[in-house]
Amino acid sequence: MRVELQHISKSFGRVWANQDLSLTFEGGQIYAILGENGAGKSTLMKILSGFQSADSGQIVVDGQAVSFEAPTDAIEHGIGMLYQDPLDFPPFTVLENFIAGRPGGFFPDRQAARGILLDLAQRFGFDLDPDAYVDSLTIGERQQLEIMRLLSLNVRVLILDEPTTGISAEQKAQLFDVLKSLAHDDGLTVILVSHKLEDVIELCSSAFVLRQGRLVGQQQIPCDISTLVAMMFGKIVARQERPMSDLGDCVLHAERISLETRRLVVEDVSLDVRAGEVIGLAGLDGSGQNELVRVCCGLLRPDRGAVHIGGREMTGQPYHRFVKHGVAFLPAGRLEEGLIGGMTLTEHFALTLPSRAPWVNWIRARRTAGERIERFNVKGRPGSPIQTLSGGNQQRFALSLLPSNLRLLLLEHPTRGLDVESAMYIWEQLLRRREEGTAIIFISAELDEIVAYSDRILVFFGGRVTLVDDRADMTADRLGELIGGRM
Amino acid sequence: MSTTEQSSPASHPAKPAMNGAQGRMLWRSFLDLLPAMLAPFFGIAAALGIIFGILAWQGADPQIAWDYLYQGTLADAAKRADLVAYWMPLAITSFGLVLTYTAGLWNIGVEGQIVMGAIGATWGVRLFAEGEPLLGLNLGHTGILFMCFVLAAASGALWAALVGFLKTRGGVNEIFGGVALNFIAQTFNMYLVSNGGPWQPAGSRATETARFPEIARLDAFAEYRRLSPATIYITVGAMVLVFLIMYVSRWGLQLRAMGKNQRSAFLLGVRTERNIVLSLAICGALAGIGGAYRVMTPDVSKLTATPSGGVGFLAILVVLLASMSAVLVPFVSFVFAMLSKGGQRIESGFQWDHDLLLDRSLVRVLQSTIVLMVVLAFGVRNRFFPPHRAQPDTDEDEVART
Ligand SMILES: Nc1ncnc2c1ncn2[C@@H]1O[C@H](COP(=O)(O)OP(=O)(O)OP(=O)(O)O)[C@@H](O)[C@H]1O
Ligand SMILES: [Mg+2]
Repeated sequence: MRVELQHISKSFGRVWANQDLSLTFEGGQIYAILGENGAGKSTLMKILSGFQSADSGQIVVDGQAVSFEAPTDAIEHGIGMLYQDPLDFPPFTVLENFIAGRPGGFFPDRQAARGILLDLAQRFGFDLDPDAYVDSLTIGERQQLEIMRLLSLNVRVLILDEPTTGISAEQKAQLFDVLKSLAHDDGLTVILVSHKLEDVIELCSSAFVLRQGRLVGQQQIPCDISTLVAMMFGKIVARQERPMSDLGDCVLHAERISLETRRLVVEDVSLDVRAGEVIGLAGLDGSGQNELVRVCCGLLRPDRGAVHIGGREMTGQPYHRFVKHGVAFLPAGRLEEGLIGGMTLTEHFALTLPSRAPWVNWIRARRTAGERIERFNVKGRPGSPIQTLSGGNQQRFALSLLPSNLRLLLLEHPTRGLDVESAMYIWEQLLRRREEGTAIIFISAELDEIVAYSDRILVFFGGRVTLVDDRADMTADRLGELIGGRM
Repeated sequence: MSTTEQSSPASHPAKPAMNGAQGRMLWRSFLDLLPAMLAPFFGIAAALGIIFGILAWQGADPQIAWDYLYQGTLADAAKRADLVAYWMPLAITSFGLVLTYTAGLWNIGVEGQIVMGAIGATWGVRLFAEGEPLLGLNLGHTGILFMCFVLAAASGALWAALVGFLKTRGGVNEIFGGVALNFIAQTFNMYLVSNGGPWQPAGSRATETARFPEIARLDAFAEYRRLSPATIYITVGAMVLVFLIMYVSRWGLQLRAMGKNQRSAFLLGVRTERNIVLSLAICGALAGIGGAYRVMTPDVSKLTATPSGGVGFLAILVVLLASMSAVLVPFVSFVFAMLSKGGQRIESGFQWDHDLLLDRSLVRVLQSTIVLMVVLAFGVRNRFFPPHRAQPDTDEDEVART
């Protein structure tokens, strides 16, 4: 199937998200859509999948102009999209979610649907229990479910918007195998929006690069990463050497903590972190990293063990006491936990800027919002409601909200969804905090990121925690082995 | 890291002069607000149309019904004063509910909070104005009334805070807690005034207390014996308080954040548990004062079997229809007061003058039809006049707030 986007434009107020974009997608190929944060990638894909309508331009499928009122129209024409946040119904089972949206009226044939689901799962090697509830699945498993649902609806064009954020390395490898097989064996068109250029080079045969809503060009792959980077940013971006910094006093002392995750119990985690130190937490999803971080800021009460912040025993104290003692936490979900959908950027500052006065100082909030937007290069205005920012810009904004002069900064996937340049810039900003004596503990699924920025690394595997503080062991390959349980 | 690439297309058009821009912003936010303000009234008009249709079908002349509605509410100064007296408890309760609903709390328990306020006020009368005053204190007229309002507010606040504690400490949803506490408050009130209950005068068979002594009655305006100036002052005070909280204070912003996303608000440092209890308590205090109005209005001056008369539930409708806007609450609550009072007049009018017994539930039907129609009107508005708000290029964040 051949899909053409012709002269697509879309504006939001004065922002041109897409400007006269013309792209052609052939069957049997895997395409990448690249571009810095806010370049208009998600907007274009939402237009192609019927989620939004373009202001002008048209979509041509196999030579015929089509128009989509809703995602179901697009699916009827064989175009399906996997959203970044899966759109499933958590209180239902895998099978029920699979059936939802299928033709067949009120009484769908559950037996037949189960058969189709199991066949698809078997073909791709997915291990999904049809009767499990969706909220017990990981993000990666939900994604697998959604892919199978779309395939069962005879989708010929599969769009994935940043599919690898939040899934484990294994699931990622599995996903890539599936995508390759779909394109090469079944002749599907796969369109991938991603910031991970290594993935793009491995998977795709061609890349479209957008900048500020316009098409910069199309690049055949294989090619060098630096070629893509130059097209995306108009210049070469290189990761800077990490400056060394002196370590100060102990800010976090965690003693023999036991953590309970959904799947396993991690016993006896002990950790001392000194001011200015950066600790990376590596491991498969759900191995206890998230729980450790939440224990360190009082959101979770450990079953056993003690937490000291700056020499003071804080075990069992509520979250706001930790905040008062200079601990800050940035969770992974942006609009679910961390930002408030429906409120503007200025309102976020009005809410979070420390103040003794009982009234809101709108002038100060507005000014701070302006400053931080500039400093963190957020594409948005002080009056933009937060949900209208692009994914990467929401992340930057969340980082810009963090207070200064912290003792301990806890981050879950701090650069999730950020383009290469912003990720480096954000790390520059974070590392600068070490001069104020801030210690950083962060979780990341990117082993490169962990290796590049950590002084020491904790690896979580199967209920055990290994501390890696030997420089020689700090390579992505060695970490990969540890995470997989190979010692 | 250079920022040469930063200028997005958004910043290309030259920014209009600040003055013109601000004018346009004000105008635009007014246009945004306009459908919201009109929607309730379209709904009410549509509902009246339907109601008059039903009346005609029941054999009642809609023209006469309209006349009764008018006579019962706005026809002359005395009627209007009565209407205002009826409006006060509804308005003050609605103001309280603006706080809890903004914070995302369904304070169904408001009805019980009104009842507890009524009981608290009556308790004040019994303590300070009947028999030997408490501790021998002779507070005088103003002092007694003051104590009655304080006790009413405290009782309502306590009852509401209980809902909050059940939610934050016991994990009981505020709706279930509220329903249970409503039931307990009403039963307790019934126990006090019926069948030889402790507050029923000896020998009386009416389910109410004795009339309050002269010294504990609110002063009415000379011409309008049902309307007391004190209630107006207090209600205006409550309005100012709620306006300050909602549009000026940090706390109001916190409540809004909680209503939109409680989890995120908590992580951003809002003390959500404390705010839940506090907003409920303030709402309860205002509802309690509303309850005090209901028993202390000059022509009532006693605790009856149903001191609230459904004002709490009506207030919930008011706040939902006003989409939690403190600015709209006075208007919407006034229209509701009018329909409630006018509805009673329609019913009694047809019964006495035309020997036509209309169903008692007609007033209820009227109210629910209005709600339905207003919700519909909002739906229509959203479909055809989508709010401009969700666009990033508006600088309206400060201007449009008020
Ligand atoms: N609903 C909306 N209302 C207003 N502006 C919007 C809306 N959706 C997107 N935008 C704006 O359009 C631009 C492009 O957004 P888009 O989400 O397409 O970017 P993106 O390329 O997907 O970026 P990212 O890599 O950060 O996800 C951004 O400036 C964004 O603020
Ligand atoms: Mg995006």
